Amino acid sequence: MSAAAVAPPRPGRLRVDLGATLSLVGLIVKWLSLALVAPIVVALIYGDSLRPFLIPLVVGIAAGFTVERLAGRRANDVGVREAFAGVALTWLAAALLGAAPYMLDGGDIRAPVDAYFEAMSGFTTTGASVMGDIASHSEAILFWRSLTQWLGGMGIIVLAIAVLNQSGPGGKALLQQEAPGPDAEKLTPRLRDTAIRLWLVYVGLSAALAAALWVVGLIDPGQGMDLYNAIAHTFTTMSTGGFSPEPRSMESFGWVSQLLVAVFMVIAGANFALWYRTARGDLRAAPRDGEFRWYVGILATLSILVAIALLATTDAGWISAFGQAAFQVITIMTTTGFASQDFAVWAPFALLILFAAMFIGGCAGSTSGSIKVLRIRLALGSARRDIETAVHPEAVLPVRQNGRPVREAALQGATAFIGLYLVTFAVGAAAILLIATLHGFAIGAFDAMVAAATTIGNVGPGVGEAGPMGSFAAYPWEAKVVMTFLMWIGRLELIPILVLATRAYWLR
Amino acid sequence: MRILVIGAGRVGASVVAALHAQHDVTVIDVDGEHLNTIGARYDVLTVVGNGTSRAAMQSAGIASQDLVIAATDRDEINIVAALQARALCKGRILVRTSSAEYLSAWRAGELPVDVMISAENEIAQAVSRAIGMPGALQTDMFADGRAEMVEFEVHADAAENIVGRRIAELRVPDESVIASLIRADRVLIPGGNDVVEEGDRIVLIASPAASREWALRLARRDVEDIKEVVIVGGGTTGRTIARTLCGQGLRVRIIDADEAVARICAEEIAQADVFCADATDSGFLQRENVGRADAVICCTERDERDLLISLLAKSLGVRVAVAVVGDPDYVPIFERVGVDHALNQRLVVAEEIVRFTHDPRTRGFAMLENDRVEVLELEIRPTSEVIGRPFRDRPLEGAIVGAIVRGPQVIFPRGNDALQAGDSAIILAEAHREQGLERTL
Repeated sequence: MSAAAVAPPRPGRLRVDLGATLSLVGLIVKWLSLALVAPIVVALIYGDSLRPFLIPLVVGIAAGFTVERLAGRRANDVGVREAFAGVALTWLAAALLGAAPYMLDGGDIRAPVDAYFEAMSGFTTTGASVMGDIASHSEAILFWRSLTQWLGGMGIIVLAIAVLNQSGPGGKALLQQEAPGPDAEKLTPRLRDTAIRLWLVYVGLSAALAAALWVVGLIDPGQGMDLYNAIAHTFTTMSTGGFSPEPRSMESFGWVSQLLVAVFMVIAGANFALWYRTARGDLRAAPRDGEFRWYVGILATLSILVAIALLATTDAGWISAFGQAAFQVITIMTTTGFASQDFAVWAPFALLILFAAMFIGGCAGSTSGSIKVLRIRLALGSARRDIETAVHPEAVLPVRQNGRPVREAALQGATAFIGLYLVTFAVGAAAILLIATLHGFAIGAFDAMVAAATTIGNVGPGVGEAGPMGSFAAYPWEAKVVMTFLMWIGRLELIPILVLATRAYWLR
Repeated sequence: MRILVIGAGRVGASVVAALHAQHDVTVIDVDGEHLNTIGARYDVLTVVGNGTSRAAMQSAGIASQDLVIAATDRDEINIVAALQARALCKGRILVRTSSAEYLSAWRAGELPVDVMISAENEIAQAVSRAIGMPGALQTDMFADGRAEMVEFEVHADAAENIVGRRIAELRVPDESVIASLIRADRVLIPGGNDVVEEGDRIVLIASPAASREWALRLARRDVEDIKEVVIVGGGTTGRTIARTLCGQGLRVRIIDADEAVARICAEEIAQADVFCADATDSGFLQRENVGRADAVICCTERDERDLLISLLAKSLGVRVAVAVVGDPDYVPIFERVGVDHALNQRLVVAEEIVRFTHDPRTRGFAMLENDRVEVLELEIRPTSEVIGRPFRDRPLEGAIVGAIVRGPQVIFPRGNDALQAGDSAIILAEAHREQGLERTL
C-alpha cells in the first residue's frame, strides 16, 4: 500500500473525484445531444425552423466533448461517492440541453427560467408547464417536449449504461441513485444487461401503445389521433410524464384512445421488472406481486371514492362518472398528469382525493414519481407492528413483502424517506406561498400546496390558474425556480441531492 | 456388520452406544478427547482425523464397511463425507442432517445417499405424537398408521379406575392388545392373573380408534385436544417442531430470549407468533396468557431450564408439558417430577439409526424404557416354525404379538389366532431377545 493511501485525511481536502464526475456529465450530454436529431426530422416534415435544434445539437456535442476532455478523467472512474454528484449534475445538465430549443425558438417560454422549468418538467416526467398558449408552438418544439419525457422516464443514466456501457465501480450506485424506489433490482448478473433489458421492455411497450393509438386513429378518425399525436402521447404516457401537444390534453381524443392511454399509464406505473418477467413467460409475475396488488387496489378504491363525489355533485351517469374518476385517479396517482376534464372544478372531496393520490405514486422500479406504493406499504407495515408491539411488548414481528421478511434498514429507510419527502413538500409549499405573497400574486394556500406536491411528485397539473388545462406561466419567477428544484429533487428521490448538502460527502 | 461412524459428538456417541454391542464399530472424529471418552467406554476402534478426508477414511478401513453413518453436527461435513464414502465403499450410507431442505432434496433423489435422518425432524415427530394422544406417555405408528403402540400411566383418579384389577377383568376393546405392563424397572408380559397397580405403565398395541378409546378411559382429567402450544427455545429443534405443529393446524407461539434467534424464528415461520422474552419471567407469562395454552414444549439449550419452565407453565395451568432434554439420564427424573413427556434427541435419533441396522425385513421399530424394550414390525418367513401355532400356547418366549398385518387387514390377535406365512407381526420384546426373535420368525 502506498504511503498516500494510509495518510490521515487532511482537513479541507476534497474527497470527491470531480474530474471523473464531470467527465461522466460531459459524456452523457455529448450523446444526449444526439436526441435532438428527432425533432429536426419532425421540423423537416412540418417545415418548422431547424435553428432551435441544430445549434444545441452542435453546441451540446462540442461542450460535452470539451468537458469530458478537460476533466482529464474517464467516466469509468466514477465510484460510489461520485455517483451522487454525477447523477445530480447530469440531470441539471440534461435540463440545460432540453431548455435550449425553447429559448432559441423565441416562443412564450423563451425566458431562461421558463425554458429551464419546461425542460426540467420534461426530463423529470413531471408535465407541469409554463406554456401559456400551447397552440402557438411548432410541432417540432412540442415533439421535443414530449421526447424529453420519454428519455427521462426510464432514466438518462440507465440509458447511458445500456448504450455506452459506462459502468465503472460506481455503476450500481449510479443506477441506484437514479432508479425510482428504494432498491434498484438487478435482473441479470451484468448491470449493462439489466439496463438494456429495462430499456427493451420500455421501448417494446412504447411501440405497442403507439401502434395501437395510431391504428385506433386510422380506423376511427373521430378519435382525433394521428401518427404525430400517437407517438407524442406514447412518449408521455409510458414515461408517466403527461405533456400533451394538444391544449385540451386528452380531452381532445375519443374514449378508445383515452382507455388505451389509461391502461398503459397503469402499466407504466408498475415495476418494469414485473413486465420483464411477464415477457419472459411468467404471466403471473404481476398479479402475484404484493406491491402491484396494493397499487391496483389503491387505484380502484380512490376511483370509487371520486366517482361517488362526481355522482353526487354532477349529473353524470354511472359509466361516465366512473370512467372520468378512474382516468383522473390513474393519471394523478401514476404521476402522469394528463387531463380528460378540468378536475379543478370538481367537488372539494374529489379534489382532496386527487391531492392525496399525488403523494402515493406508482410502484418502485416504474417510471412514476412521488413516494411509491412500496414505501407506503413498508411504512404502514412498520406502523402496524408498532401498534401490535404496544400490546405485546416482547412480540417479534418481521414486516413481510411478497412473503419475504424485509430488512429493518429498509423499513427505516422507507419511513425516513416519507418523513423527508413531507418536510421537503411543506418547505416547498411555504416557499411558493411566501414568494407569491411578496409579489402580491393571489393564490390560496391549497394552490401553493398543490403546486409543491405536483412538482416534487413529478405529477404535473396544479389547481386554479395552473389547473390541468392551464399553466404555471403566471407564477413569479422565484416560485418557478423553487418548483424546478422540487422537480429535480423529487425525480432523484431526495437522498442523492441531500447528500450533496453535507460536509461529510465532500470532505470526509 | 461393520459400521463406520463419522463424528463422535452427542448423536455419534449415542449411535455408538446403541450399536457397539452387536456390530464392529469404527469411529472417526477430529477431536481426540471425544474419541478417548468413547474408546474408554465402548469396545470400538477410534481414528483421529477429519471425517471428510480420504486418508482418514482409508485408515478407518472404509473399503470393507457395510454401513457408513455420517453423524457430525454440521450438515455440509456429513454430506461431503457421504459423497467421499460413496466413492470408496460399497456399503450403505446414512447421513444425519438438521436441514429440511437437504431432507427434501434427498427424498427427491438428488443426493446419492441411502438414508437421510434429521434429528430435529425425528424429535418433532416424537413431540407431535406425544401431544397428539392426550395422556399417552409415548406413541409410535406401525403399518402406515393402521396400528399404534401407546403407553399410558395408570392413575387411581382416571376416568376408569383399573388399579387393583386383574388383567383378565379388564374390558379390552376388540382392536387392541395389552402388550406389556411396566412396573418400576420391570417389564412384564402380562398374564390374565396379573394385578394392575397404581403407577404402572400399560403398553397397548391398538388401532387408532381403539387407542383413543383407551386414552379416554385412562386419561386423568377431562382431556381435550391440544390446539394451542407454546414452544420455549427457538433453536433448530424448536423451529422444526414449530413447523411440524403449524403444519398440523395448531396455534403455535415461540419464545426465545435471544433477539437474533427470535428474529430467525419470526422470519422463517410466518404462521407462528414469536416473542423475544425470558420464559421464566412470570410477568411476561401472565401478560401473554401462556397458562391458557394446552401444551408447552421446552427445548432450550439447558435441561435445567426446560424443567423449570415446564413446571412453571404447568403451575400456570398448561395441561401438558414436554421437555426435549439433552441428557438421556434426565428422562426418567423429569417424568417423575411432573414433566409429561421428556424426549431425548439422541435416543430418538439413535432409534432411527438402529432401525436401519436391523434385518431388512423389519419395517417399523420403536424403543421403550430407554432401549430395554423394543417394538418391531417384522415380516414372517414362510419357513418359520411359529406359523400355525395359536397364541394361547405362547409360541414366543419373552415376546408378545400385538398385531398381525395380513394384506389390507390388521388383526389384533386373541388366543386362538395364529401367524400365517406372509404376515407381518408387530411384536413387543425385550431388547436382548430381538436377534433371537428375528431368527425364529
